[in-house]
Amino acid sequence: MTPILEVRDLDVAYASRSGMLTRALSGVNFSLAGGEILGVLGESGSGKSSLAAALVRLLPPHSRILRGSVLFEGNDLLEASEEALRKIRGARIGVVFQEPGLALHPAMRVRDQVSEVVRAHSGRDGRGMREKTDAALRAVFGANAGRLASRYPHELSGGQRQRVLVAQAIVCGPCILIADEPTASLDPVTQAEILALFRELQRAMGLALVLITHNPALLAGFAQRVLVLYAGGVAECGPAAEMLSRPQHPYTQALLDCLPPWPTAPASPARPAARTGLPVIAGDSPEMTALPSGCRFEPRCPVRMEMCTAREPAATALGAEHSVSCFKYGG
Amino acid sequence: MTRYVLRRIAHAALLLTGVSLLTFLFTALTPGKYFDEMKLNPQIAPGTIAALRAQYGVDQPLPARYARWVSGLLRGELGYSFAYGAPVGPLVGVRARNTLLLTAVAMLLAWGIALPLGIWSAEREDRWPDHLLTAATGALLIVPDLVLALGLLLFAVRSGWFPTGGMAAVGAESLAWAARGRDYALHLALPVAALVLSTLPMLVRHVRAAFLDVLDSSYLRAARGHGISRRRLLYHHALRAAANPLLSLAGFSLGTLLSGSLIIEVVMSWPGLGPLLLEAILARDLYVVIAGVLLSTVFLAGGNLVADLLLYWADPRIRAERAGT
Amino acid sequence: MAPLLSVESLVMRYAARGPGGSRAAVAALDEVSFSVAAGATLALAGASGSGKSTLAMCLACLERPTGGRILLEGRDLTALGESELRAVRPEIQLVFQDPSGSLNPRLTALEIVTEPFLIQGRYTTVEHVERARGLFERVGLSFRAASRRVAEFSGGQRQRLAIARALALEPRLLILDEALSALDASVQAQIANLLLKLRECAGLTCVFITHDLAMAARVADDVAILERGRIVERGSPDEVLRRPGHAATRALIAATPPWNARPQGQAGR
Repeated sequence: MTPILEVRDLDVAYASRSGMLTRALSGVNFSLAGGEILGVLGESGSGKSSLAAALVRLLPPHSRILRGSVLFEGNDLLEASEEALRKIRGARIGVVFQEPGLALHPAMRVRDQVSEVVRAHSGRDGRGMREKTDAALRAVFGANAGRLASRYPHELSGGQRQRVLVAQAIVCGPCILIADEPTASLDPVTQAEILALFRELQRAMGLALVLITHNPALLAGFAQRVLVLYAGGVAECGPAAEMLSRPQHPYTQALLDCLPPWPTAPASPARPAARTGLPVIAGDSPEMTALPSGCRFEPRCPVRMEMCTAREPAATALGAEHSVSCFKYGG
Repeated sequence: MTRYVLRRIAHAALLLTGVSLLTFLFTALTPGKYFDEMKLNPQIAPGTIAALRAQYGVDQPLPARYARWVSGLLRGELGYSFAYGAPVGPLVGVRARNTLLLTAVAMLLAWGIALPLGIWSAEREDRWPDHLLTAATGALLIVPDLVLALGLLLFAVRSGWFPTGGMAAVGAESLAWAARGRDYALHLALPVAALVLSTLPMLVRHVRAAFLDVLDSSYLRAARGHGISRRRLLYHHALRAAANPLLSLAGFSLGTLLSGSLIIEVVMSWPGLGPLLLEAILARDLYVVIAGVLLSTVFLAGGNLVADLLLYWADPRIRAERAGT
Repeated sequence: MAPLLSVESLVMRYAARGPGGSRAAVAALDEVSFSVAAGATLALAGASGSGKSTLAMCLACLERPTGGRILLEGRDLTALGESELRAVRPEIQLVFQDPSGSLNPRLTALEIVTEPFLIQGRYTTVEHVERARGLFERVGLSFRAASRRVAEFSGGQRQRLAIARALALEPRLLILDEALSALDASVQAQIANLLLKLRECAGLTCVFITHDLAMAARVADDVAILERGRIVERGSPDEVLRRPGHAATRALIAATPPWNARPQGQAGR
């Protein structure tokens, strides 16, 4: 199936005041098929937010795209003009950023904020605008849409604000939705609701979804493919079911081991003092200004080898859909 | 909403009462009774002086005088000017209208320039146009109002393009209205220019700061992510978000404009409250001074009330806070 | 053995105006009662709006409840005046969800950790540094980082710092209000292990407020489920998670993304 989005060799860096460059992303490669849900798994320092911003070229002013291309509908978004990009953002590719509390205008009503997006892309046709806005609000709020549409963001709960952001992102009927940590500040019940909303929208609109998160548990049973980012590079990429149950990259394995498992067997009546700790990944999150010369995960890797310090491993294919960047598999 | 308005009006009333009391006390307690000086004037009969003293209850204790004055105020009388020999009301009324004209025009012009300039500067943060503007406003800030006014006067004298004082030329009433309008405008130009120049730097800097704050925000970035054009972002989204600090500033800047206008009116001979107040203070013309100060306070409190109401309307978060109290 | 912490019929009512303009007295806490034995950890789980944070603030004596009692070792904290409370505050410490918000960005790490000593007027300046060194070690922070400011630390390190500060005055009770929620998955595991270690070594009593049931099960001896200001279920993690009684518990469990441990012994390991 032809991908609708193809990212090749993306290199993004941030320039400090003195001109020193800090890499945020290196050599990121992946593709997204129509209607597919891709989960991007990354922790702090992995470059996941830079990825989201880079795809629609909304990086902060002191960032530099050093290399790479983002192919969408036959154009390289990184080479497109600002006006061409503006027309794509919101209309063809919708973005839902982090922190719903901050991403909404504090002094505009919900309905107006959604209308603004319509207005930006289809001019000031009054009735069409109202219809599209109402449709989007109904899609995210259901029956409550009428009641909530005239409220201000500070009168909404976290989950409701997140829904407004989603409404803004889908109102013009894009074919791709990029969601950067959409559920980070929400409780599990609201999280589940938002994921269900995404699934519903994907089904109804044929949306392709890029879901960026640091919580692997969210992607289980939700994403079709998973891409694991570590320190700006792709560690592993493959079908979700396979990756989450049989991860190949040492980082992915270690990360998944960290999650507290659901108690399936009756617990021992042992005192808390005897309770065992969780497996952890040794060390701290990577310092992007001082990365090692070889494999970036090497300092924390439980199965590191001699050659891991020499250079960065290249991506090795393990089967048709699954690739890993680790010397254990070649590279 | 009505409770909010009523509360603000109550605050303003309290303020006015306090100000009037203080002014009354200060002027009544200054040394040198007016009538003692009148006594030195051989042309005024002692009988007249005694009558005047009785009429204004000058010999009565302070609280009685104040009460007398307040009851008169509530009846609409502002007192009697000793120096002009006329009721204070009409006297101050005309002058107040002139001051208002000056201040209103200056305020509109100052904001009309400060907004686009501040936005323009904020967009170009850290680049040379921004630095240039910051330096220019800094320089203007340092120059005292008095010097600005004098400088403009000098310019008027040297160039001969502008009149050097007054509100209208002698015999202006006889001109056709187009010519009269032009005459008024010419007379208004320099005082307004002085006022605008004195408040502009502060306004530009605050607008710039407010916009810098907003331009950095997550919601603007998110709006860009939805493909909203830069122009709309700036003049619709950003402006609405920056309305909060800017409206508060508007209320405050009205205060500075008023106080600045008093000095500039004196220097540029604009027939407003300024010169009147100055004369009245020097002549210890009690009721004129109080009326003048009160009126200035009314303008100030009124301006702030309007700013508060606008703020209430513009920022829904304030409404929510208020609702809880 | 008498419990360390005993909460009796705690009530917290707010007069709030709803968005539609309706005026209602909101009961954030509605007759909450529970007790925690010394050295044990109680996990309080619930959806947002269930009253978890309000409870944390009341326990830490940062807000006064409308009704009910909080007994620390038999002493009624709700009956104490402000100056008496001040003497008790070192006994109960609170760690917040957002470390960046609760740590002063202008202070160095050392200053943050020694601030409680200054506020309570304890120990000499020399002792401050020595104690700080000990605290850093306990939470797994390198003392070399003592002169850095908050902005230079990662999320996990900031939370360690917040915990170090909380431990400075040797509290009997540590309240963690969603302290792990804002952290990455791998970092959560590290901090959870730290908490387990602290409990083991110092016999610390903890109230662990969270909405992550799996983590609650891992870290706590007892789990209580909060819904709309009431405790609707309480028991051991095993009982509550595997045999939930109340609908709220079931809803919370259903909402938690199902995660099971990977089978051990993989190819490539």
